Amino acid sequence: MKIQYLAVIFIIIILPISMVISYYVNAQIKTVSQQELYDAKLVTATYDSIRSFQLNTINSKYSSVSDSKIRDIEAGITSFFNSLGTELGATGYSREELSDFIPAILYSMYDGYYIYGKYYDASIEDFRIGLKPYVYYSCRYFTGSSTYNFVVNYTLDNTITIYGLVNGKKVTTSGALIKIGDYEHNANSLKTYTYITSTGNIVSNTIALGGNKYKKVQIDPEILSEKLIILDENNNPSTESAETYEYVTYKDQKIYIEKDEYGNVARDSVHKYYKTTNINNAGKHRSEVDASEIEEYPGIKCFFYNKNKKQYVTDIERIAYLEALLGQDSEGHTHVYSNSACQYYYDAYVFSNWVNDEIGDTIKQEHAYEVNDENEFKKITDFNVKTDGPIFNLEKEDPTLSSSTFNSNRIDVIQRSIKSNLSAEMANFNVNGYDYRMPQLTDTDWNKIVNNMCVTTFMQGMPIGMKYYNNYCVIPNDKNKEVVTEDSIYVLVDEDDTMDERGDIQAHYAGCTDLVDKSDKVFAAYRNIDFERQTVMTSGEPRYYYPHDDQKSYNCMVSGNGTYDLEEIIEGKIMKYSTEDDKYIEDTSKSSKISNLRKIYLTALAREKYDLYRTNGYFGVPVE
Amino acid sequence: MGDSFITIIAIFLAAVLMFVFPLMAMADRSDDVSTLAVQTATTDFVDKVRTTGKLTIDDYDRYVSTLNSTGNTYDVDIELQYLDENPGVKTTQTEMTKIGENLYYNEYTNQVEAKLNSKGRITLKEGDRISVTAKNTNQTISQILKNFFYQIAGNNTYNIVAQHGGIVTVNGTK
Repeated sequence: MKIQYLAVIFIIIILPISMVISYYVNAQIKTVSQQELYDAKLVTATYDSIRSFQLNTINSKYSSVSDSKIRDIEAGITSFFNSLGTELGATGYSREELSDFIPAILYSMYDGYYIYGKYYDASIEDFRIGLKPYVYYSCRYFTGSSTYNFVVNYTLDNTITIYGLVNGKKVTTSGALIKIGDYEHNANSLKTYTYITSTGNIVSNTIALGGNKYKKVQIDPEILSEKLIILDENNNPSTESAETYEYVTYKDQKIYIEKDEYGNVARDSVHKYYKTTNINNAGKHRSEVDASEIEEYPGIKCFFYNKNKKQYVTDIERIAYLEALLGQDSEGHTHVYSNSACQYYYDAYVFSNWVNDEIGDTIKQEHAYEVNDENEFKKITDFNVKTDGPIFNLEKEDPTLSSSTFNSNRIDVIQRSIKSNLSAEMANFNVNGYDYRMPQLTDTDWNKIVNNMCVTTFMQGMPIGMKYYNNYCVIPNDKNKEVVTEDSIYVLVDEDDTMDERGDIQAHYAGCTDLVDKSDKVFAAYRNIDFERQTVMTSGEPRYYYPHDDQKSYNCMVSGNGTYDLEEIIEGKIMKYSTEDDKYIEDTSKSSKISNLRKIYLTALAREKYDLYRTNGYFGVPVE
Repeated sequence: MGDSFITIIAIFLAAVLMFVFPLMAMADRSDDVSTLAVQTATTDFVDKVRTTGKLTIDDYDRYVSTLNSTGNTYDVDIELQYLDENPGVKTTQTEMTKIGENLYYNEYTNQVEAKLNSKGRITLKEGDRISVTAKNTNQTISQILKNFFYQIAGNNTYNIVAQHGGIVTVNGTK
């Protein structure tokens, strides 16, 4: 045979094989490229959803009220679909078609979560897609008898709510948990004040002031201030630039204090308020008390910031509270000091003592039960991390540490609850015949969900070449009014001690490596959302201002230089790697310098947590 | 004489058809697969940095070793853009009606690698941007074969390239 014929036969055999392999490889390549494209678009669309939620809540004064929250979440979901629809629009998918490929969106919040998905609506007797009811991160503990049969609602930090039977008594109570030994109580720190209501009843109230110590740091009342733009009655700004006002938070609302021309707290000359000089008169009526024991005082001039205007406060309870917080600084000027941080630690101490006494040694992971529809108790055995010791023993363990039994159980309860509800939700989402299932989330992603407010989106069932697309995206929302995390506090440093408004004050992360040397110059700390731009709609153009407009540090906040671990700052022990010992040891030269930083930081963290809006009013130990 | 000439040409053609073209086709496929692997690794690396806010030396080393496992050598270019909001805040502070413009500070591969080697990680914040490009620096089999037929010369002679970037969605301080 001629060699040409052999060549031709060879080509006839090899060419089709080559073409098929080439086609197969190309198809695989296209599939994977398409997958990456969709991955990137999913991340972008999820981030757009978070951004929309951030912008809505930061600029809203009522964002923590549940109806407002639902509205903001639904706006975030709309942003997600719009963003994804725009990006995938070129490939031919409209928004309506896209919702067939999104089996669930999870909005995990401070004490529970919302799932956006398919549910059965009894009013229309059909399935519809929307926001399902709020689910709490809860776990029931039952010791077998009616002595202990209660539910604990966990949150993203160390606050819990307990309701049910504890030691045979029915209780409903909430509070923050701390290690009992970390708090040193000073009996002189409690102050009782009185006021007389409009009906003549004498009421007393006890608040915690300075002098107590937490983790060996003295927690004192502080002066808080921020900038505002105030509109006059014609909706025009009353000043050329935003002005600084001192404020205090009472029952989750900020009250701003007016100052007179001498820099002291201004007094209200119109309204009159009364209190009694003898604390023992509390509970009586004014008419039962001797007139010499009734004292009149002028109220403090203060206002709420309502719709960008001043709404003066004349409420007797609030004015009495502010009066009790009056103090003088070193220059003799009067201020209203915020005691939120002192109150937070005191309340946490009282609550932790109660929890430790009632359930500290008793309740362990083995007492966790779930109740099914037939009211049968079934023990929970599928925890990720098995712990043997008591969960709420606050004498031995610090619940604020990530390594504690309490924290490990908290994470497990949150994961279990989310996993079971999401799996059920996705299994019910039967569209186009595709088998929707909840994917396995990585540990990094679970870590984000259990420690911060997150949005998790799932996209499945989209045909992409040789397979179906199946992926998810978890993005935390760092700037929110839902939860105060340890890294959401920015610390203010006055570089040259002059308290000059322009230029010298810098904002740093609490763990900034520079702060070890500048710890003495740290004078205040605020939440990160107070450094975001606010918009005020006036009769003309919109006006913009920053409640805190301090320059962000170029060392830690602008450029990406590392920071110390915040748990090291909280404990007061900066660690360094020792090559001689081949392990991490305390760097005592640095640890000794950060006492002022720790004081300001721990005070600010407690104050922000205390001032956070709470939706349930059961804070405190149950009254006997 | 003519016959043997034709025979030589036929043998030459046969050799080219039987060996070179399939080899070139397979080499191109192999390059495509390498491109895919590099693109996947680059996308995964960038998306991880975007969703965690941290660029650690472990992640970077793992990314580079994934690239090298394709059997080629690569030139990796990283560009980090840090968001600086301070000019924007200053402008708004003095002029309430304006939203000041923010600036971005750039850092390039050498600076990024130096930072990673000294501190072990770079912490990014929401609003920063990252962009990574990987190009091959060696000559792949496909390039060698193509060179045989037509000269490919010059600096931009890379066959395998992957590029991905995006905005960082979360603060990496935790």
